[in-house]
Amino acid sequence: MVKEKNIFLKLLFGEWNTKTVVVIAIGSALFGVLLDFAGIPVYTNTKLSVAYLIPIYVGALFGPIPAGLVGLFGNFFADLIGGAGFWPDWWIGNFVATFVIGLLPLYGANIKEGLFTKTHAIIFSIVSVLGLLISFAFIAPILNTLFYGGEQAINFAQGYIAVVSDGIVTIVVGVPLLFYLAKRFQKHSNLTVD
Amino acid sequence: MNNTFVIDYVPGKTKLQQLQGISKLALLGVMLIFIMISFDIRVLVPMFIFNTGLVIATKPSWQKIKGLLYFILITNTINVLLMYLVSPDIGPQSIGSKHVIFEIIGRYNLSVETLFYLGVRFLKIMCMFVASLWFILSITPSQLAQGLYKLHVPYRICTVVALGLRAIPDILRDYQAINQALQMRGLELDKRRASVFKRLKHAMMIVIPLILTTFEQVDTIASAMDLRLYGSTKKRSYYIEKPLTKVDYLALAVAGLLLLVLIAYCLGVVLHTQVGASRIWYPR
Repeated sequence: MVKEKNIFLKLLFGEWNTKTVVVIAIGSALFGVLLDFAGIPVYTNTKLSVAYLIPIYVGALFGPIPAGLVGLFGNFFADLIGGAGFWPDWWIGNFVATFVIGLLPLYGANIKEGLFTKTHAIIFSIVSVLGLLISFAFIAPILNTLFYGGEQAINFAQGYIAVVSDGIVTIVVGVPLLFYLAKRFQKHSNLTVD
Repeated sequence: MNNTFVIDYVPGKTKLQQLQGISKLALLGVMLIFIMISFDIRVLVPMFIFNTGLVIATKPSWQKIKGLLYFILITNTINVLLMYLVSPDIGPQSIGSKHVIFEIIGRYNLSVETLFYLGVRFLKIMCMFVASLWFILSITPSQLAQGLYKLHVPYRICTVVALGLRAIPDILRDYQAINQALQMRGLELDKRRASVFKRLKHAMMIVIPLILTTFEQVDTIASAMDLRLYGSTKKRSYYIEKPLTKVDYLALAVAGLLLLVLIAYCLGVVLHTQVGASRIWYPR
């Protein structure tokens, strides 16, 4: 039982060594840069943000807590380099969203060993959309109303737009990316130990 | 594009920029919480004046902050207008009285309370913007990391902050290199010439190589850090650590004073409003 708990914690936190620290740092930097500079404008104020591929990568290889920290610090960095004010409501929203997106190892997808099936893809899509819904259509708008006294209807509308656009990116691009990564790592795992 | 960063990597010359990280973090932390917790013109006006003073104290170049200022003014104005369109009675609802100045059409009428409410909301966002701006203009990644460490944040987290912020210029440079190389080969990112999904696909052709090349550096950096025995001890020291100066003590004293005012404000005002009720203060 103790061992099972340890494995669970390890899956949740990832191995917390120097490499994890560096991955979170670099991942957050990438997330921040992509959030600020690489959006694809759809309408005036809405854009498809490709930044959400980073937590997928980090989550698949290092676990959900590192992925969540990537979202949290990534958004913090985006605010620091962009300069349009600090929005802690969105930092927390992004933490929850990227944490849930990074839950991959917990339901058995093991990208490092090249294990990613269609079932995993379906679970991943459902879980990610649920995570985005909880964070951007629930947590972030409520925190925004609480912190900044915004109008709830507008905040929720903004949240729903974020859920739809980020959900599209996560599923339409994220799933092929995961299959690609699994295949890439599978090549290395064909070797056997003598 | 190199000038798009607001944050500096080399500490500037002004008194505020020379402050230690912990003093700036303490000031910012207390003021941000104060701005967030209050919806009160008596708090927000002094906060706005003080924070604008701090922005001016960093002697920013107008070129650098011009775009940001316009951006926040425009988005904030749009937001306030939207708030009015969605619920024109937001002021009377949260204040409890209604003095109509003139009717416009249907349910849209302009009341003193709504004007007041929207004005306070505008001021609140501007306050938050100015408070963030002086902090961003005056801090460097190392100061931020060292300040966080002084505030007892685990040093691995501090490393994440310092290392991540230092990686950003490199990543942006790689991003632009890949972007230009692929555009030279005929990749279309223009809104008018390609559909959204095509542009998304093209953006992927830039982002996937960027992700792979960037994460390839992780092993090198991690090994270099391991070789220098990173993480072998429980504590860590920083090169930029200096003894606190008089100005630091002044900043910390101001932060402490503000914290006391904040606690008094919470006890006196916030706790007296009902849960769920709006915290807006209105002169009667």
